[in-house]
Amino acid sequence: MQATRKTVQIAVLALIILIPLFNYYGNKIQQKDEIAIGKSIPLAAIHSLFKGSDRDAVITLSHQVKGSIWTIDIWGLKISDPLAVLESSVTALYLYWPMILSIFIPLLFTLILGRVYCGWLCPMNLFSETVTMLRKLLEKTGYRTRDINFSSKTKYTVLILGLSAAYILGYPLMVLIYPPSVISREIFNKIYSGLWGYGILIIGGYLFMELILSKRWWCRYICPGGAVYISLSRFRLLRIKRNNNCNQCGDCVPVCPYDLKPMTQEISAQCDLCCRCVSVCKPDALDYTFSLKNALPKNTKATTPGKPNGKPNGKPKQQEKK
Amino acid sequence: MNRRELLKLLGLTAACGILGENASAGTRGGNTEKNNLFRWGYQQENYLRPPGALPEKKFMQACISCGICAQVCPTQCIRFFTQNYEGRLRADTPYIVAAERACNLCLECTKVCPTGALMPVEEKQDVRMGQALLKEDLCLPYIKQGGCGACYTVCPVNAIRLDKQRYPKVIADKCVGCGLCEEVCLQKVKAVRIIDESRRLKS
Repeated sequence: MQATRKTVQIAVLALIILIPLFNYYGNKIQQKDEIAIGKSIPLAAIHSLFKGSDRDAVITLSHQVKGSIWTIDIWGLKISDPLAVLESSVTALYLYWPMILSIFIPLLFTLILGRVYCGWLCPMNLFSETVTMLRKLLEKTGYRTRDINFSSKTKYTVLILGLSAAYILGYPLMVLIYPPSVISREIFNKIYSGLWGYGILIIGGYLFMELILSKRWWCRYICPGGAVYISLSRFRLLRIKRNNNCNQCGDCVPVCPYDLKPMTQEISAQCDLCCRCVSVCKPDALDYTFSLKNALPKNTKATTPGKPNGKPNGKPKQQEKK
Repeated sequence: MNRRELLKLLGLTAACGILGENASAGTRGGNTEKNNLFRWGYQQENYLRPPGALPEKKFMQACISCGICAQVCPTQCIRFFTQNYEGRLRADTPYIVAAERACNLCLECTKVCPTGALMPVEEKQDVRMGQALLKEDLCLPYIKQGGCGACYTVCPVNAIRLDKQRYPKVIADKCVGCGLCEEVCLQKVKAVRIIDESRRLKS
């Protein structure tokens, strides 16, 4: 499962680079700018792929899919980030119907699967996970990293403050700090103008903080987009549930990037379905359950696992070690 | 502590590198525009929004800086402010500098904008990006430097007529402000410019 997730994340990052690149190639073909194509290695590579084909067909093909992870247009089907739609609508106090319709697919996915965008598609998650690995390496060399914790509800404050500031200033401010938007715009800028903008400093700053100050602080505490997805995924249908196989070994607790405790069923809407807990669970005590019942509000009180179900190895692992 | 200082140094170097590169690129690209500013006597720079754009205030409210309009633009006239107009850092919204590359009114960008910041436009004639103004003391035929008529030839909506088959005149009602005339103008300091009063940058 982890390998699949990594593959999806890398594929998404590759698409964020390839879609603008292919559009740029189409533009250059349309301008008959053979010199620019020859100069750049990726453009020349694409050019060699389409050597024999019809010029007009290549131009139309190159503009079929456009955009990035922030907003994409696939054969005329528009899909936008819910944060983009929310911000634009709040700032202008106006509902533009084609735009409202474009959040239908993300909304559907979030209501069924939960905060799956964060765990599987967001490029920032991929970077964060890489940095977390670097952080572990850094700790091994003897460098003492700090881990500043604050409330995971800070996200909502950031979202509300961002929206009100955007309304007052008349400009959707969060596009300047929201990583999927910044990353896709930076890549687009690099391809189209050959220059890096300030966005690379923003993302670099976030990752640097994650490296030495606070573990995965952006996704855990700050991300306004995450706040939107979390509020939607309270009603999700797919949830991770513990069954009677649990032997309270506690393996699933430290692997969770959001400090959730699958062992005691304390899985809130924060869960981004990264499935680390499921892959790490040895007695197969965590299942994906899919039912309408999940969507209903219920008692969210933490429950301790029931009696071990009569298995000989049902005792907690910590005691076995002793 | 040493490591921390090293990391700080690396971060700062990266920051300086990026800002320096951008600043130098800005001065390299801005010469045409600076010449124009000098001769046209404007205190402020002039830029255009892509076709179909809402009024400036509403445009800034609606645009989410996704860059789709620039991705599909076949002439690549649409740029973003992070691409350093005059070396200054601005919010990421699309703009056109007609003197350097003008819009050819393909209207692709109006169809793809997800936010409605660029509203769909059906006909070329319905676009209003600005208004062409002709400065006669810069125009070649008027200053007896020979006939030219480049702007007359290129205008896609026939908004420029030639008086006595020589002297260009802008027909204000027909002009859509695409800026092709400004791009092709032979003069280094453009004799014809697109002016959009609502979209001047504040300096």
